[in-house]
Amino acid sequence: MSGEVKTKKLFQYTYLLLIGGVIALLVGYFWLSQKQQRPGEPLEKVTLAEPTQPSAGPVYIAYIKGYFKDEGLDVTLQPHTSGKAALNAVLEGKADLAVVAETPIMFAVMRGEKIYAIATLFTSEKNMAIIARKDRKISLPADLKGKRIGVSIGTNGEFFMDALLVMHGIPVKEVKAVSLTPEEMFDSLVKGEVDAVSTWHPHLIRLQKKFGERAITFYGDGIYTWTFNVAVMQEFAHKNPEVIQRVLRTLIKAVEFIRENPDESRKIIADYIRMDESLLRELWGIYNFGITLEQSLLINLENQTRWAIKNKLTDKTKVPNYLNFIYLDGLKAVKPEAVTIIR
Amino acid sequence: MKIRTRLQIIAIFSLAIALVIGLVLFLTAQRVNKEISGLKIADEIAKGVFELNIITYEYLLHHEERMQTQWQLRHDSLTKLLTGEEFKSPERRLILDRMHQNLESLKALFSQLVENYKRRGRKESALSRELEERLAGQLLVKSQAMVSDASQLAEASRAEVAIAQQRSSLLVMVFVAIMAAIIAAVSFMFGRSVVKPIRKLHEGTEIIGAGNLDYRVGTTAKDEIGQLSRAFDEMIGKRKRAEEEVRLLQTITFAISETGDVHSALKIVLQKVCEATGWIMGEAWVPNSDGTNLECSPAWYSRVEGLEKFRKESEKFTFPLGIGLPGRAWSSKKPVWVGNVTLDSNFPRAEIAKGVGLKTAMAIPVLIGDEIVAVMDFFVFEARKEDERLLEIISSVASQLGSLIQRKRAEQEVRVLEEQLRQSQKMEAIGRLAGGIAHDFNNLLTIIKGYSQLSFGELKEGDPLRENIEEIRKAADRAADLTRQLLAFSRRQVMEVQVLDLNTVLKNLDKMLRRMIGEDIELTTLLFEDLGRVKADPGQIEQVIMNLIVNARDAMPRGGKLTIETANVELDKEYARTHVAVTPGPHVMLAVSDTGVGMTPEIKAKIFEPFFTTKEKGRGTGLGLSTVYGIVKQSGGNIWVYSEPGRGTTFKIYLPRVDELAEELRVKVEGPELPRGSETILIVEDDEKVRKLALKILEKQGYEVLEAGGGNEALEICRGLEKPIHVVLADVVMPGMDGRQFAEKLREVCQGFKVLYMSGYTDNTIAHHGILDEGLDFIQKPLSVDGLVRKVREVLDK
Ligand SMILES: Nc1ncnc2c1ncn2[C@@H]1O[C@H](COP(=O)(O)OP(=O)(O)OP(=O)(O)O)[C@@H](O)[C@H]1O
Ligand SMILES: [Mg+2]
Repeated sequence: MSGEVKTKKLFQYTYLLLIGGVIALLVGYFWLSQKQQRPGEPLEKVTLAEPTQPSAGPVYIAYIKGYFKDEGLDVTLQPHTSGKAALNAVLEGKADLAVVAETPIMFAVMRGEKIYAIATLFTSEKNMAIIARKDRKISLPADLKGKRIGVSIGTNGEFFMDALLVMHGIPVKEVKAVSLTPEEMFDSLVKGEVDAVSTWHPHLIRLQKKFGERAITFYGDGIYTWTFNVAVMQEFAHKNPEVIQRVLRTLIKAVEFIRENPDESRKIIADYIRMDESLLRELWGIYNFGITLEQSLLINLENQTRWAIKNKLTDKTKVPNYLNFIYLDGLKAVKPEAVTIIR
Repeated sequence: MKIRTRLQIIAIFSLAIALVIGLVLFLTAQRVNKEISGLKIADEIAKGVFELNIITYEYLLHHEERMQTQWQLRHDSLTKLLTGEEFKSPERRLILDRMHQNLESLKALFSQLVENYKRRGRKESALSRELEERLAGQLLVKSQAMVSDASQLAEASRAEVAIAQQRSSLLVMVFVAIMAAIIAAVSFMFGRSVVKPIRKLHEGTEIIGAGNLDYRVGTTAKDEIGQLSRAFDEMIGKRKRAEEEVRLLQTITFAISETGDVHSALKIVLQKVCEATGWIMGEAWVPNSDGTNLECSPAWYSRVEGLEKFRKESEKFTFPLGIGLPGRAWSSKKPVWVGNVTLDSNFPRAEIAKGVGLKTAMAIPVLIGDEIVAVMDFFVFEARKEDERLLEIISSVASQLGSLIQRKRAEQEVRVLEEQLRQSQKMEAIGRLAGGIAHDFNNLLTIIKGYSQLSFGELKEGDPLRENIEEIRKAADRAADLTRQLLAFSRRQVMEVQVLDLNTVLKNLDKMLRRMIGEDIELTTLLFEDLGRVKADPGQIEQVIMNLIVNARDAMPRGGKLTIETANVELDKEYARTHVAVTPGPHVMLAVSDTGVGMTPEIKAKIFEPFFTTKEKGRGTGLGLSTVYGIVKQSGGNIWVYSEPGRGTTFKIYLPRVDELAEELRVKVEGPELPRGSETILIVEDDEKVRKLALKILEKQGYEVLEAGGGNEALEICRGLEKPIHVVLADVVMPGMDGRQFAEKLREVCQGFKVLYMSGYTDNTIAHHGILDEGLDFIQKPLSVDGLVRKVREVLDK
């Protein structure tokens, strides 16, 4: 009966092996998941300058939801009135990171600032438009010829206007550009001091509501994509590649949250920046949140650069190699498929 | 093969197949993964080429440094992809090589483009413009070639994936088919070796449940079901045997309860066991009378003829402990099995057994507790292996038999005790009657004896009347003897108790006994050394011995052996339980055995009765054993008789042992002259004739004698008397007042006298249970002249 005993033994060994394997798998899994959490490490102190706009939504979500803490970051949010101001805070060393549109980045680079865009977190093709009064005989973009258009000079508002006019074959000289601050746009158009304004939300939506059917909005059909990006000093990136990765991971998590919980996200964002939630809900459809680095960012920056050179907004005449101002390694390490910049 | 083993084998098979399938799937997945990564690379290449085109396009638009950098970067990453190790097959390598060449020419073209731009600067010339267009066209052509190569690569990978998947699904199908075949085979096997036997087993339970205990499932399979079936069969077998056993026990129990004695019970058991088990012959052995050997019981049974010789021979055997088949069962108290008796060294009857062809034997002891009652032997002709079951059954029959015998014995014991009790009660009644007669008799005899003696003295020598008177006196003496014996039987004799050594008594008697029994009889005395003492009247004990000896002699008219034996014995509780009126404790035994004619049970039942005799008229009075009985009882002892006609008789007397030292035997020496005196004697006796006789006798001896017919009269006399009274001779039994009370009353009137009591028999006034109170003087009626005169003198001289 030794055969029987042997088969019995064989069975026992097989069972043992199976059980052992399962245990090993479980232990391994827990060990690995444990490793990701990195408990006990002191939190990295980071200051993030933000523009107080819904476009920086992922930042607020990550902050409120405590995602920064989860990644071992002690983030202080530094509110600013605009992305440009936020970027200035970084340039002045008052903050480590800034959420800022691409235009201030372009100007900063043109001024010779050593900065990096580490990721885009927001894009929208309909955040900017030219709204025109119909009573001024404007019903097509071509009708803008010879009209008074309110624009904030040196901003992407002007860039958008130029691009739209060029698209419709109207030389820029054939319109009367009236320089207005973003805040003046509403009143000027309402008072009729200008026939149209090139502006962005929330001024745009306020005007749209004010005029209703009496105004027409030209969005530009993809000629311009507004982006909000995270920018840092190059030195900071080189010294803290790990922090950058963590920030990116946090923002990716926040974007996922927004995608899955849009209502809650809107509420958090509106609460944080003290904005009317209903307004935000109306605009929500034109917002795209996503942590990326796309080839289009490069092209966008270069296009704006050429525009700036042409309009003498800068004393430089050569388009810089923006590859040197985009920090690819961070996002490549965290989410490589989100990097579409050709390389 | 066991089901368990089969299941294990199946499990191992399934496991193996699962492993193989797993392996196939794993390898396929590996393969597919590889091909997918190949696909990815192909995609990546196509994408890369596309991106190079984009950048080229951008460059053509803007001619900026960033585009050059990006182009270079993309070119490098593509080159890396193309030189990767992923594609090993030669055709793919060929494609890759071609792509590589194309990529290099793309690079060359792009460099030319850059060169051209650098050369011309911002000023466009027609020539440079044309070159630029040509170069751009060339770039597109090469890109196109690369893209189509990439799609070829992808196609190849896709084909590989398809092949791998096809192959793996084929393999999986094959193994699944094998598995299905195994499962089918297993279920078939189960059907054959599990379901069918289980159904059979089920049928079996139904058949057996219906009462047919002979049914057997009878499987030869070695698996669990086989085991189950066999266990089932065995269980039913056991049950059947148990039922048989119960039936056997019942018939035997019933049969035995009908029978009277051990032997017939044994015979029934032997027969029933042989009939039930098919054994040929059964015999039984029982312990002999002293329990030293087993001897052949009359009970035996044989199913065939021709074993009588064996039986006849066997009857001559006896077996001590441990010897022979019965002896072995006796010593071990367990059944014994002998496979072949003719070859067994401890089977003394081997030769006889061989002669009749008996081979296997078993012996089963019948026990009551630890006591062997019998051993049953059974035989068969053929050699058989030990059957424990059979031994068990017969053993339980034997134990049944044992307890039955025990019950019978208990019943017997009760009967015997009852008989003994009745006997002793009868004796008691007769004794009382005899005692009453003896009392009156004694007074009459006193008178006859006294007056004949007196008359004798007054007649001259040679007077013919003297002879007549002498005859009267002799007859009276014999009558007195008889009365005395009767009194002894009725235990009314006054005992003069003394601590005795029976051996001494026997030694003193020895000579006389030998004279009595004559020369034909051989007398042996076996006196126990260190014999314990008893408390008894030595005269009475002598009487007992003499009576027993005389009886023994009479029982052996043609001579024989007579044995007198003494011993210390301990009568235990068990003995006391089975014998009436026995107090357990240390005793001294006196046994008288003869080899005479013996007695039938009918005679034995009556021998202690007074006047029972088998002897011819004039030879025996029938009072001998009555006297013996009375004396033994009065002495606190017991007497038992064992007798068988033709074999002889043994009387055993047990007297309680005492721890005191024996006293000197008081021997009275009587002088030739009758003593005389002149003291005053008061006779108190209600029987006038006796009173007068005593008066005459005493006056004749010189005493001054006063007489009173009763207690009151005597008191009167004493009151009026001046001189002292020396002795009061008083009857113990008087109307109105007993002797004792009277003596006390008298002492109130006058002092200084002694009292001599006289009586025909005792009662509690002066003696308790016949034993005289300390310090009292007593004279037995009938009075004789000698006895009275001497006793009076003795009392006066004290
Ligand atoms: N040893 C003996 N062997 C056989 N029978 C005996 C023996 N002893 C007594 N018997 C029987 O018991 C009877 C009674 O005996 P018991 O001694 O009482 O009277 P007895 O011998 O006949 O007459 P007695 O003894 O008065 O001369 C005897 O007649 C006799 O039958
Ligand atoms: Mg006798």
